[in-house]
Amino acid sequence: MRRLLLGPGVSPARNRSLIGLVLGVAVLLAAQGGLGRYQIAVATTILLYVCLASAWNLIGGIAGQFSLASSAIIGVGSYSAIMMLRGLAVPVPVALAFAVVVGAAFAALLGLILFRLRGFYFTIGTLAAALAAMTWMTTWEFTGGTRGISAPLALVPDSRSLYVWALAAAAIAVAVSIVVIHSSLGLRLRSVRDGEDIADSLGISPFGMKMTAMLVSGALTALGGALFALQKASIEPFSAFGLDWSITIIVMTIVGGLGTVWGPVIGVVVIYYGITVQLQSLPAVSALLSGVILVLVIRFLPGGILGTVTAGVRALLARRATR
Amino acid sequence: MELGVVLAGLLTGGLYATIGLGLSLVFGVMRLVNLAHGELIVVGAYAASLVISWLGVDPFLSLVLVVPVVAALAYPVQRYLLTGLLRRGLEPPLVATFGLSLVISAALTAIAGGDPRKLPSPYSAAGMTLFGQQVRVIDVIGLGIGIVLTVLVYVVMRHTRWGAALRAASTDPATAGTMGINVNAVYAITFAASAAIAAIGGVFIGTAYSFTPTSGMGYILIGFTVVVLGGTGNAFGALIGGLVLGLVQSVGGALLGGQYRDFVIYAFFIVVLAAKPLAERGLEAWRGRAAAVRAEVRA
Repeated sequence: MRRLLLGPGVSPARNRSLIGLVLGVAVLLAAQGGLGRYQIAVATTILLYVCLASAWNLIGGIAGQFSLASSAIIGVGSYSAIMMLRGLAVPVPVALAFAVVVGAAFAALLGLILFRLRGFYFTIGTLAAALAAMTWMTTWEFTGGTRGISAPLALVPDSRSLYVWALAAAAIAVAVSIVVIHSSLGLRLRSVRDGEDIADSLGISPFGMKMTAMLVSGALTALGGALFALQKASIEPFSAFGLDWSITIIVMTIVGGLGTVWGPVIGVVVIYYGITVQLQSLPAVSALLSGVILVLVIRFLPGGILGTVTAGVRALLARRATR
Repeated sequence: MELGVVLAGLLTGGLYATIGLGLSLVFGVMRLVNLAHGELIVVGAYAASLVISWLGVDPFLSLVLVVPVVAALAYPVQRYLLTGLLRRGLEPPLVATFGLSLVISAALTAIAGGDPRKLPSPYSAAGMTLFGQQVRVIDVIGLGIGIVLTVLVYVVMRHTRWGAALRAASTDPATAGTMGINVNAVYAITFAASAAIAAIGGVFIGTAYSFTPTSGMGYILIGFTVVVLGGTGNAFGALIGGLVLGLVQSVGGALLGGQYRDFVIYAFFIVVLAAKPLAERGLEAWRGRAAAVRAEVRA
């Protein structure tokens, strides 16, 4: 325990973030009793998006691989969990664990094929993979084709325990981000992002690094997808594998701050709570607004909300120090 | 394989060439990956639908209005948003065009609703006989559009002063700038031209098939497949890529069943992407050997 917190190579920033995470989880756990039915549902969705956005941040932000395949991994996680509940009537934790394993394996398979490609070729390859997975699911009779499948209602956890599951998933995803970002693994991932050939020449395997990020990100993405499926209880290919998932998650992460621990969290709250929930009756307008925000952020705030605020605070402090 | 399947593939290939041509233009000239290209296509279709409901003209006659309007809308997007981002690296323009695609499809949904539309025309269902096969007139028009646009782009690129400026700006923007070429304007005009080609494709799609505000994502993948297949150096690359893709889809659909038509494209694309680096390496090795042989001969 002592080595874990104070050992060599452990940064105080990492410990501060971890302490912040623990406090946040404690507050959210304590707040559970005071939330109404609707608030619980909204909070669960926010937490699941935090899990998904943090997972994408690992591959898209830290490893710099702009993947659009999240939607396919979410779909695989959703279907794995619901199929397990439906076919074998296993307990929820077993179904989730199965979804995580299948999701990680699927992500590894994608990585094996697509990491032969670099830069935007990789991006377009993941787009093809996401669309291929969706069209495949619409024709596959084993999973119900376009009709989809639903979980037996008796086995689906109620909204309060789902909230706790979502909180656990979000906490795991953020904790993994904290540990990865402040570790030598994070440094190696960023070196591959910033200069693949130089990293390669320094003895870092770009392929190995990308696969590591893809595996961890895939496992977390499948977990989030499986819990989303449990929240809905019934799924079909167009919603479970829809490209909207990838788009939403990427917008959230970039608006919040790419490659940072708390950026995705901020982005989820701003985009989902600030826009989607407030404009519930006008889904097209909320999509329009998130697109506009994405373009404005990439044009004027390259570091996202968090990056800009951090830079601003640093500049202020520096000015005070020189005075 | 029956002739009908091959013919159908080649005819859809014309549309695919049109889609790929616009993408390959902006990618070839300024290394811009335009993820909003599919949405530009859909914008063309909706603009035509608007013009037709106003004036009641033929879909292809509406191009007279649609093409300049779409090009004029596209020009400032490149000039004031994307060109600046291109200087910051690969990812910012990618994200920005991604955001634009979101904005366009959401705006179209908000304005026009999500129901599929079709541009009315007397010949969209008419048939004709070609090489003894029954085909739709509109599909033949589609192939014609693909060929005409390809030749047009080729001629402009190779045989006009403007094309020379464009090639110069694409090879070495900094030097072209010192030679009195306004690189920013060239980039913006290229993007506008690409949007115009997309709009023509969109009007064709609207007449031959149907479209919704979110149709763009499927077409962009077809476009990228064409670009990767045909390369970006030559306008005819897009035509060949489009025809090959149309053939693959048609033959694949005939072999596996119609519901796998889209799946065939996506799977084929991944295979092509994965095989392309290998093929290029092979080609380079082959060229290298040829050079070595030449050197030997000279010695």
